[in-house]
Amino acid sequence: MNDDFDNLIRNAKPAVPAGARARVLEYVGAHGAVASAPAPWRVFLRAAALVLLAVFAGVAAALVSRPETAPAVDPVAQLAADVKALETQVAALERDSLYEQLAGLQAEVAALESSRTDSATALEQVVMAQLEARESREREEWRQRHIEHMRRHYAEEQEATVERLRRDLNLSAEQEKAVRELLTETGKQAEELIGEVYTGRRHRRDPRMHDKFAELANETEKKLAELLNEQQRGRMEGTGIVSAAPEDWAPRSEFRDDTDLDVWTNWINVTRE
Amino acid sequence: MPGQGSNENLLPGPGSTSHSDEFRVLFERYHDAVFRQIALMLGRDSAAAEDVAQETWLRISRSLKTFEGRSGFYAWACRIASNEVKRWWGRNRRPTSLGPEPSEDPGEGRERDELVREALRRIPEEFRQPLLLDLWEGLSVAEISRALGVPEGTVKSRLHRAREKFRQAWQELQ
Repeated sequence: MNDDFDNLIRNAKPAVPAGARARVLEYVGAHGAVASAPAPWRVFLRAAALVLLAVFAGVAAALVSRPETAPAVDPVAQLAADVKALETQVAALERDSLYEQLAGLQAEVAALESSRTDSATALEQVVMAQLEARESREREEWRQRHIEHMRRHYAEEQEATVERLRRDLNLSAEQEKAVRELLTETGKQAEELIGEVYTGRRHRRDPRMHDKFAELANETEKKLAELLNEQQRGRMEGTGIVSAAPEDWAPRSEFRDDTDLDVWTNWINVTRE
Repeated sequence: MPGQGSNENLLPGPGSTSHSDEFRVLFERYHDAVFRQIALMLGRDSAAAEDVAQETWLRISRSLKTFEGRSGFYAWACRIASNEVKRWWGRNRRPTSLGPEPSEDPGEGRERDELVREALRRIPEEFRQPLLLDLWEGLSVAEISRALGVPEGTVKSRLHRAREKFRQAWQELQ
């Protein structure tokens, strides 16, 4: 059933149009935003700083080339001071710019989102643990109900089987007693097999459950044959007194509410893999 | 196909030199997967999905340096894509019911695919993402674990529950 749904979903996969990748890359590139590429305002600031530097350099050169009437200020020192002042202004602009503030806020948001994901994972683990605990309780309840059902119905079927064998094969009193004991023993072993279904989680169930039931049926037939004489064995061949199919040991209509049907269907599916 | 048949990490290793390199690697790896998520969320034609995909990757490229890798890149990209889809619906009038898109060639198979996508839209995102990475992108459990930034056990349980939720949604739509 899951495979059917998986194929449905696979077939509904949307197609990616030809050339979509190239168009996205072109769009991102055209808006000047491939990751760390410098923003336009930053390029402008750098260019402006260079222009100002050039202007100041020109001024400084003019001052140096003037005769003695020039002020007694060292032009090189003045130029260095101006450059330093400019650098300070550029740094302040970068530090205080809206872009940098936005980047800081985005980092905080990303951190908050990450911590939210961690919390969600922790919460999910708690919920999953509770679900598993509840499933474990329900499994035990289902096991009890299933075994009670088997005991009630198997006792009736056992009596009917003994009655049929007595009639068809003319069983002696000793044989009838031995057959009844054999069927009782088989019923206990079937109960144990059914009990195993509920001991593990669904995906850990024994996939050889059908083989085990077939083996139990064969063993019972073999032991029954040993209790009969040759003439009786010839008449009994192929009667099949015990079912080899686990479905036949399953709860029937009285168990078919939604929940139990789900449990049972899962078991049948798993054991048939 | 993102991450197919590889053991690569989400982000390039120490040898990479810039966010631009990282962006290129992530773009090549996740473009198709993100596009299909957008197409599914929009439930509209591929032209609209392409518009939203362009805005999504533009935003990713601008915000990549703030991505610290605590969650998986794909999950992060899908959150951004989801926001862009909401913005797109803000600019374009949202229909009262997000039914299947009118088709020029309404064949039976196409109608069924639209129903499947509608059922997928009804699954919560945290379950839908691993399911689509599995069935649409062909990623392994380990690769999905890295793409979403959650443990492999969590991926398995979400895949199991996603299938149950899809089955319920599908039956509701029948």
